[in-house]
Amino acid sequence: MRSQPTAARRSDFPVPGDTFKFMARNRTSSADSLKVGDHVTSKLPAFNWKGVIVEDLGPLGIDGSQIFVIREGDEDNGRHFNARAENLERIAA
Amino acid sequence: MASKSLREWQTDAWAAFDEIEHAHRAVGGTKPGRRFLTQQLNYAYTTLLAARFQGFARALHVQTADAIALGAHDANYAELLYRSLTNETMLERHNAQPNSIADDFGRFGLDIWAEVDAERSGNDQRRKKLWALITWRNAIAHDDIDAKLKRGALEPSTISLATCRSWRSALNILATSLDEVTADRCQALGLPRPW
Repeated sequence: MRSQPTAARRSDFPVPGDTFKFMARNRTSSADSLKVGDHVTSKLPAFNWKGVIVEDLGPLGIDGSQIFVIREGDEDNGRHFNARAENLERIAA
Repeated sequence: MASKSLREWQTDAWAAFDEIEHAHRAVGGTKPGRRFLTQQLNYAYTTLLAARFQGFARALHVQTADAIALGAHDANYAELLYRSLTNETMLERHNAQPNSIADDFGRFGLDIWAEVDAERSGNDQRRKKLWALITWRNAIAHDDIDAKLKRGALEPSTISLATCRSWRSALNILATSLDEVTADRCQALGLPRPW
């Protein structure tokens, strides 16, 4: 009997020893999760920057929160900083 | 308790290093001439050590910044602080050479190498090994080993499995000290010890 195609991925089945980045792949797989390339802004009222997620650092927050690297500005001269997932809101490109 | 960064270093990174060690045994054997058969493995080992240590140092910086920012009295202030602490870090763009580490961890008000040296004797010598590793890593990655050897810029002048093991051992201790010193720093700032 031949195996059938499936959408399951290795990252759907975390095992001890998986890296944070590997586990992060699964955590960002659902449609409403943030991912690299998303345009985002801060949920907090005191900030009005707009940026793009350029890297997913995985659940590196002290409480397991997902941390992203954000680029604000254009690709050549933009500034990079980190932000926690729960403080980010996806916006239209 | 150790930080997540240190735990990942001690599990995932160590497993990766062990793979190279296994490959060394499989390819090299014990016969004369194995040095020539395994030189590229030594270069791969060197590059891997530098890459994984950069990953560790960067993750530790991210976690320390997060722990410090969470100590802020409100969310806006925490975000402002977190952004300042992680803005344009050296470790994001450069190798984990001692000056990159000093620059980024200096944002926490730390003279990181003074603290690391005080944390365990011999760390000043281990830092020199880190410099040697990074210099070799750059020579390998930029394909200019011969030119650097002629200038006497590479110390030691050849890499063996023993050299890589010595670097690995030094990085293991430096990683533990960095982990300890950053946790101490959070406490000194009046925060709960994060790990």
